[in-house]
Amino acid sequence: MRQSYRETRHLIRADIAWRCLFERKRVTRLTALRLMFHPGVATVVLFRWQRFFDDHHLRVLGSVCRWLNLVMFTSAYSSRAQIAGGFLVVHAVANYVDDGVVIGPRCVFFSQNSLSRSPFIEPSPGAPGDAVAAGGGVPLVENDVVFGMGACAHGNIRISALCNIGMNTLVDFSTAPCSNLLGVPARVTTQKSAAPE
Amino acid sequence: MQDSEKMIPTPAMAGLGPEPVMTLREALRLFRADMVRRFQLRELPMTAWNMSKAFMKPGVMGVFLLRVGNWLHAKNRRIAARLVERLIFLVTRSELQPGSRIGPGLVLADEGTVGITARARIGANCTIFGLATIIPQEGGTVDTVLGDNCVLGRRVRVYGAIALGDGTQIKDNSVVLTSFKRPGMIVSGIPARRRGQLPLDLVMSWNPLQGRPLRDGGSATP
Repeated sequence: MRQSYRETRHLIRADIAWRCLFERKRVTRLTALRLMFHPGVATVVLFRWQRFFDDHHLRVLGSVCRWLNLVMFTSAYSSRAQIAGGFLVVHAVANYVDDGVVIGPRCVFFSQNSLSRSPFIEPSPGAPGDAVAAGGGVPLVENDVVFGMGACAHGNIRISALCNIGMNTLVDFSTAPCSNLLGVPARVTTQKSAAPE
Repeated sequence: MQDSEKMIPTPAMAGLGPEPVMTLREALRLFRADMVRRFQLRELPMTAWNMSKAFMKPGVMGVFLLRVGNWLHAKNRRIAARLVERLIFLVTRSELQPGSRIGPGLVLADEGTVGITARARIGANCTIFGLATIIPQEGGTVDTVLGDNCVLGRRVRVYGAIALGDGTQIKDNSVVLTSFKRPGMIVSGIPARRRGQLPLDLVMSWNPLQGRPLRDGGSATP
């Protein structure tokens, strides 16, 4: 679906509002203007405009936004990724979001996070060495998920709402809501039955 | 016997042979092979427009400068090679040392930020994602050797004088401290452990950038 100008502005506002809440600042025009110079906000704003330009066939401007993200923040966000409002990047370093990834509202990336299709070919559990599990498919992330520094997820998985993914964790399976995950490959360390406030 | 207890192989294991006398023509031929493989994995035609777009990406620029640095290093122009190394860092935020020996068909992630030190010996058709680092033993005399068709995921660390066989796949965030010399191994974890093994032809026909088999079904060898 094409992202209109109005939607783009609305998403940027939601991103900045969530950032202000995160930093315990009042949401004012001046604060928003100052936050634009913060790398974590600038990378998200560049992504929003990249998506808008690419959706409206202004490919050159979209490429410029993508290139600026790549060179200034070593981050790459695909225009075909769907990232809802309230996307918060704490440190804008080496984040990667692949084509078709869906990220729900109010998700937090610390830094060096990647959400992509799996680059690895793996043996199928049923027929080892013979068939292979298809690596196709990208992660779907629900709302309020926090990715710690260096955490990544790949493959056709669903990360449910309110999960916390620890530092340097590699998630390659679907998770239940409110889980805390840690390790390479990830293990569920704790799981709450109700959503925290 | 564990893999780590076996003999550390020579760079010839990675199909690289003895120390080459590289000419500029040879360096450019290697870069062309890198680009051919990159476009094969990206599933894009290798047109002038696509080439110019690809050159804007730090990963591609890094590979190009690395090949030039390799040529300067082989010609014993060490100061010029050192300047190229600094330029690579400024442009791509990658630490690609010109003393490293890398086979044809190298693909780095678009965002660059890869670390390959001078004592690394990498085979043909390897794919290295962002923030992966290959660091040999400090003060040691033995190289870190990667075979052909290896895939290093994001933030993988390969430490020490170890050898990885052909078609080894190292999953994201792993720290590899021991050798895995059998072909087609899948390793992950901190420290990395064996998670599975696949026939080499399956690994060779896999497209790590797209996460599916190669379109032509064959090897990505340029």
